[in-house]
Amino acid sequence: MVSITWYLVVSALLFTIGLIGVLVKRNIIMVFLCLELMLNAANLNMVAFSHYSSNIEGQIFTIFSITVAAAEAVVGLAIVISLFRNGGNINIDEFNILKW
Amino acid sequence: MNTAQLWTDTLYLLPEIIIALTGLLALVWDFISPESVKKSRLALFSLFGIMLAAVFCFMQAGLDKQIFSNLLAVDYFAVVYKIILLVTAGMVILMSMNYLKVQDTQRGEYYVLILFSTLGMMVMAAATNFISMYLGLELTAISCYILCGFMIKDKASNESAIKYFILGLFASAILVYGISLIYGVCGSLNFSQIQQALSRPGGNSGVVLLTGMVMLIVGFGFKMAVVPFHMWMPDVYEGAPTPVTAFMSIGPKVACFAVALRFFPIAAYALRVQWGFIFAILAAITITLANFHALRQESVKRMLAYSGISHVGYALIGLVATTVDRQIGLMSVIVYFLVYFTANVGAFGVIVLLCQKGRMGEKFDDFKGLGKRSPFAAMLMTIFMLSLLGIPPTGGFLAKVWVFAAAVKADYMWLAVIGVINAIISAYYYLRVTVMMYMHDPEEQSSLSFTPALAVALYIMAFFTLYMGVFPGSFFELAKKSVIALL
Repeated sequence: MVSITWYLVVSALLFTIGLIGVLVKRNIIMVFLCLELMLNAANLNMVAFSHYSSNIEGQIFTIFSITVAAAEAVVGLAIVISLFRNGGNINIDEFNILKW
Repeated sequence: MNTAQLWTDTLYLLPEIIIALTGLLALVWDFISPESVKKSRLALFSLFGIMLAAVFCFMQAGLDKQIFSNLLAVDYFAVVYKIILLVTAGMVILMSMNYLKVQDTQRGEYYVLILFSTLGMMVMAAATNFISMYLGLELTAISCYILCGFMIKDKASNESAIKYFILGLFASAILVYGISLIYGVCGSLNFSQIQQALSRPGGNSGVVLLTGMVMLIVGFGFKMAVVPFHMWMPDVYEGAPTPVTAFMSIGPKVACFAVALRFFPIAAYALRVQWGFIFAILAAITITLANFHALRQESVKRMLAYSGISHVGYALIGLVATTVDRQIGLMSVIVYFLVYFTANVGAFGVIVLLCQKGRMGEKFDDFKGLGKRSPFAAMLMTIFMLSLLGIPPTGGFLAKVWVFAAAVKADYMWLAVIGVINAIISAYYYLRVTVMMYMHDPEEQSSLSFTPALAVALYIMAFFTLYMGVFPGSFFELAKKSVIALL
């Protein structure tokens, strides 16, 4: 049986990769994918904990979380499309109308 | 849990069900009605739904129940917060009727999104489990992303939406990761079971638990726009349509605070030393930094965004005070939000009033000579500014006094001192609006026309701002009852 530590290590790695990606990537689609990676790291954690403590709540949370992520993807891509129509590109550095 | 139980539980959910049904019906109505039917009817229909939900909310006052296997609570605390959220939504809809006409973006889904977002916030206010909290949070957030980018042809609106979306999702990811760690340690997502797990001997230490707690605080910090996680907020506020800004400056913040008040002082009380310390530092830097940014803004909308950040800092002082005396601390936060929301919605309402065709009315210069152009609007704006500043006889004074008193009582003298100093500094930018209105000549002579809907919203908000300052007794009673329900 695989010990829970391995699951936690994988999820921590996924989370870190996602975090770095969000900060480094300049294309909005890539940033969005990295955000999904972070969310899924959390989901993996939930399922692992749920399995090892034989408590079902974590898996329920994961199902809701996946559903919400799908809804979020729809809205996010719609926003990206309207950005592209108005500006012609989706590079994050180009969005600087609003500034202090 | 049997079927009969399920049905009775559903009855307790009536306010939420009404809001959801109103939203869905409005969606269908907007789709099938011909273009010639005025969208203002849709707004009135949404208002009707909100009022009906508010009536049912009032009827729930005094109940103390856990429904759907402890997913949601129906108690006085939830009722108070739901009323705040419903009133905010109602006022925003009244303001929007004017704004959308001027901006020529009359689309029905606007009201639907406001309703769905309100529904999410109501779920958050009642949530006693991370599952229901997360669903409420995301429903609120997703609706707000769309509302921010509602003017699809406007580049600023687009930019505000994408910034909000990316940072909102980022915050959610951190929040969920934190929740997963807490779940791993405590073995449950339910607040009361987390409380039990944490209060066991040795249950409140460990690296995993503390990491989870810190990530939870960071996630909430992003959602409530606490410095240093506030960078997105002024940009989003400036780009979004003004009524949406008014909505977002109250709704998500208040709902997040409702969850924080249920979680930190109650469920995570065993960890109060740790989170108390973190929140105290966050409160101090939030108030100070937001204040200094607000000083140098040229746009009133942006100034109000920064002032909103600093007000969250003041409310955090009350949350910190709960580490010592839970009742006083919680009451001070509830009173603070009751006062803050009336003044803030009102201030945004005046900006909406100034917004004419081809002129956004957001700059300080747009307020020049408002005292001559429209004495009534100027008077209302002065009341709201004084309340935000905290000068008697407005409600803002009492709210600030309470928060500071709670901090002093909890031996956080330094926090109270920082708060008072910042309250004095904030006089500059709040009174600057008043100076612009009364001591400068108007740039254009046209007098402003109040639409009835906007006037009603402004009068109600001004009335409550003054009423809470002059007769605070009933509101304290309200806060006290809701805190007793919580403890």
